[in-house]
Amino acid sequence: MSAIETDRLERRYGRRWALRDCSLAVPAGRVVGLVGPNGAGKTTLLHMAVGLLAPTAGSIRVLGGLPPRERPGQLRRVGFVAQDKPLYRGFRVADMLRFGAKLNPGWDQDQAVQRLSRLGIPLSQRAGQLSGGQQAQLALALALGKRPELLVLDEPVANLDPLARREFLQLLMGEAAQGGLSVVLSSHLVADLERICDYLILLAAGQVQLVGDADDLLAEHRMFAGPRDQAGLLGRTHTVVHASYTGRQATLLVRLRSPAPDLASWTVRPVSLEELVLGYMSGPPPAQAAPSLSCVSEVPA
Amino acid sequence: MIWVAWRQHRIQLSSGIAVLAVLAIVLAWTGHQMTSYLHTSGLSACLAAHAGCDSFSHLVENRYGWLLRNVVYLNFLPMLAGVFWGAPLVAREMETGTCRLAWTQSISRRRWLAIKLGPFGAAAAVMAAGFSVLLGWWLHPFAQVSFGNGFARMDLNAFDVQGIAPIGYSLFAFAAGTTAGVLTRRVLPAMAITFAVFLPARLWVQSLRSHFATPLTVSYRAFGTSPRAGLGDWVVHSQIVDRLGRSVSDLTVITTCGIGPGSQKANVFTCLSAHGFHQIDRYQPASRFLAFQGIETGIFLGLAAVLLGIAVYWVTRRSAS
Repeated sequence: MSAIETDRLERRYGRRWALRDCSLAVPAGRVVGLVGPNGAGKTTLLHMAVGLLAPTAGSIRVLGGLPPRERPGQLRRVGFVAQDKPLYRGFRVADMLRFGAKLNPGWDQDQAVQRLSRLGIPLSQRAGQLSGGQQAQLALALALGKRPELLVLDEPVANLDPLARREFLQLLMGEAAQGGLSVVLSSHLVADLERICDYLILLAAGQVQLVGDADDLLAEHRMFAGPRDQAGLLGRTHTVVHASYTGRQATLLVRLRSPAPDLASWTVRPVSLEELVLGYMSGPPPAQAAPSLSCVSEVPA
Repeated sequence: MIWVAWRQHRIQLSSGIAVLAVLAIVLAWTGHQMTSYLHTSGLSACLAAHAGCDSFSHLVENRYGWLLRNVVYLNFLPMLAGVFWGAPLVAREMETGTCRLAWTQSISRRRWLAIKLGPFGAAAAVMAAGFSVLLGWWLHPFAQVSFGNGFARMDLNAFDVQGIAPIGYSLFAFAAGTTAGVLTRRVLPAMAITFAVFLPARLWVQSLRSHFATPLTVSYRAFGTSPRAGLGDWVVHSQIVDRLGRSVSDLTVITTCGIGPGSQKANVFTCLSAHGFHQIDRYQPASRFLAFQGIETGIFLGLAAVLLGIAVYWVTRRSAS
């Protein structure tokens, strides 16, 4: 069963496409990073998964069933932390928990209280007076309190300072490690995801550019550096994802189609997740067009 | 569930109730003052005896006319339910983004909307009913006193603030505010729209009211006193006609019969009957009060239902986050 599965999913706002022809499968039981530049359609995709938005065309299935938008019964299986961590600012923390308890039949009050006390968030404090990091933690505690099977986080650390960012990701990793929970989180910064995600989906311009297990992706890609005039040769046997040139020197991000070639004049090194994502986001090399990486062609069978 | 709505909107609800409570105390106090004045001045006794009580009426008007005429401002009360309760109800959550939190809990949007609409709608209806009863009592002593605009139950001033119509008005205002908020997703525009929609709707239905049932007519001597005076009719239209039933202006009558400061009353009346001038009033009798209240309330409840239907549809089917 996939946590999220889409088939030619599309969403349009008026005449503007936010997402088009997107087919992908997010595996269950993993921590999946959804990466892409701002405006790539990440929020649109996640909002459709948690039931805030309806697709314009195509279909989306969540935890093997219809999305919560069409079947409200699915709402209790999906926890969501929205990008701006909306909270009722006038509510005390205890009121926010009571809000969660009243609206979620599966609510786990003891765990929610423990979680917040471990984080040092006082129950009597008003939500609006908490620091940004604490608000994010409270929002996460609310989403976890309903004991979801799928936890979706939209840019959870985007507006947090580095310390709060680390604390939040630690909290999230601790929860994800307990197992049974599928996590999907989006970010426009790969660095945030590198430590926590084991599966990666790269979304750009409303389409999936790259998808797969993080380790597999790293194993499939190499960074080549060598003479510029031999760059075309490499492109014949492998897929050049991205190329950059300085003088006579070429640096190529390559997806291997066969075992790594042993070229005397080239240096080969593994890539980082960040280089990988940046390479795919900047697109094919200018001289020689790589095969188009549409959403459909990149989905593993 | 109700706790969620209460916790979220308790300041709005309780401040609204507090303002209305103060107003209710003012009404109760002035109502008491006026009633006791009617007794001590002897007007009550005069009216009970069905005597001509014009001089008493003038006394009452001098003392309390301004207060009675201000009743017209109470027509704005139901609108407040729309502006301060309806408009922010959903719009505020959309404005602050908390709808993304609320709509991803384990309850459907329909349910979520119901637990917001229920308590506020009930509060608006109960308070409208309370004020209606209070104002019915407040105005009751003046139903038979006529000065300028009447205050009988069928008269525009009094009809609109008592009976069941105020319940219809406030639920309509509440629904208009809520729906405007759902559609605009912003509190202030929703408030402005509620304000802009409520009054025209009220005035429009008010202009239709005289057609709810065919008016009755009564005919009597021109410039005379209607045989139905003091019965609490709502006189919709009044005109002088000649022998052939053609409408004539007051000015024509005055010049034809030479009515002026020096003219003799007897001569004038002889002239009037010689020309066949008589007054024709079209009126809605007081006995139609309940039927008219029912129709008026029905119209506004119907409008409220349509508006709430739009709000529910929009929130559950159309609204994006």
